[in-house]
This record gives sequence, C-alpha cells and structure tokens, in this order.
Amino acid sequence: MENTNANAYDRAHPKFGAELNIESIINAPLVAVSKANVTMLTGQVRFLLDYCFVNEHKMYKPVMITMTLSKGVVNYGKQPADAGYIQVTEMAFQMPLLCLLPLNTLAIEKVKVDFDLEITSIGSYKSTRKKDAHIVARKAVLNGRVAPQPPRTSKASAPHQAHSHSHLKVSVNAGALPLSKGLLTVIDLYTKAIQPLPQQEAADSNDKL
Amino acid sequence: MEQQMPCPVCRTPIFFNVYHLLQGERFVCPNCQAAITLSPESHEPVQNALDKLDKLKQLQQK
Ligand SMILES: [Zn+2]
Repeated sequence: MENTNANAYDRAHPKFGAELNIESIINAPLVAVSKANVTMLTGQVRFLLDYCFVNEHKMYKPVMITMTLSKGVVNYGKQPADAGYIQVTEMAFQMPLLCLLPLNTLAIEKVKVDFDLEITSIGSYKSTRKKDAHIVARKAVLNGRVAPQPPRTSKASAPHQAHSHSHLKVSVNAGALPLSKGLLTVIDLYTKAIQPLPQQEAADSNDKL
Repeated sequence: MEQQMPCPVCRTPIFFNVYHLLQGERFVCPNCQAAITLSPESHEPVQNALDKLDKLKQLQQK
C-alpha cells in the first residue's frame, strides 16, 4: 500500500534532478510507445473481427459484399446501326468487405528521444549470463540525471525556471504503415478469387452465406 | 487512399475509391470497359463498416 502511494507521489511530483539509471531514461519513452502501438493494433484487429468477419461455429467467415458488373456485349445477330446491337449485360459478383475498405495500419512510425545526461555515478554488476561471463565479467551501470533545460531568456527574473524543466524531449510520429503480411495474404487470396456470376446465381449464393 | 481490385472479366486492375462507390459512382476497367458499382443492398453494411473504421482512425490519431 505504501509503495502505491509512493508511486503516485512520484508521478505527481516528478523530480527532475533525481539520479536515474540511464537505461530507464531511454526505456521509459520506448515502452510507452510500444504500449500505444499495441493499443492501436488491437483496436484494428477488433474492428476486422467484428465488422469484416462473422463468427460461425468457431470459424471466421468474411462478410461478403455484392457488387454489380456491367459490360456492353455486341449482338452479332444485328447490324451495327440496329437498336440493341450493343447490349449492356449486368452480372453480380461478390467480394469480401475486407477488400473494399481502405485499411492501413496506423502506428507510431518514429520516436525521437533527445536528452542531455549528466553522468553522476558509475557502477557495475556481475554479469549473470554464462555466455558473456568469460568475455565480460562485470557490466557497467551508468547513473545520471537529465540536464536542466537552459533558460530561454536571459532575464534575471526567471533563473529558477531553469530547474523546473529538464531537457528530455520525446517526439512521436504516427504514420500509416503497410498492412501485415498475414492480412495482405488474406486480401490477396480473396481478391484473386473474384469471379462474376449471372444475377440469379449471385442471389442464390447470397442466400447460402 | 487509392484501392484496386482485379477486373472480374480480364483481371486488369481497376482503381476505385470506396467513398465514391457509396455515392453510386461507377469505376471502369481501362482494358475491357466493364464497369463496377456497389449493389444497392450492400450500401448499408459498407457504410456502417466505413463509419466505424473512420471513428477508429480518428481515435488513434488523437
Ligand atoms: Zn476488364
């Protein structure tokens, strides 16, 4: 219980000048970004399963969408000048909803962690990995504190502000990444199977779905 | 985002935009001139899914 309170206090009153392990300074923003990516990807997978597939008897079947194909067909029994020489025939075909939607993977593409670190102490610990033990007996630990942000103005009235901001900048760029290989394969498979059907057959196959 | 599907007749890629399909637009195969449209009964499921997808993207961009 005490630990939780201490944690809550740490979050509410961050100590900018505190000595921290260099690994944790670098890790913290990266862990936050990977958590954000997981949340985004989970949302997208949930969307795909909920709206693009139907779960029937523990099997996911794609939601199919009916499209109409119209094409002019020449009636060689008639002369080009006759009415009905070119007849427009309509056929239906089905494709998975998945192939119609503008899907892309929105995720964090770039993370830039920028800070100046003052090394305040150097320690070491015994290497625990057997493989490394004969190469490196001890591993170094660097502790430091994030250097305070230099004051923006040279006004003498605000020297204390320099200590309330640390120079640790994390910039994050979200971008549309290519779809996963698995999803692309599924889309490709269905897209290749697109075949037109005469209207009546399409209606029948709709009933079967 | 530009999408494409193979023409059901000749397999040439037909470029389309699903938002325009929903508005009743036809997309024509550059090779055999076959035209594709969305069947009226499919408007609702496509519109619903697109609305959800747009919402999801907006949430993620925040
Ligand atoms: Zn074609």
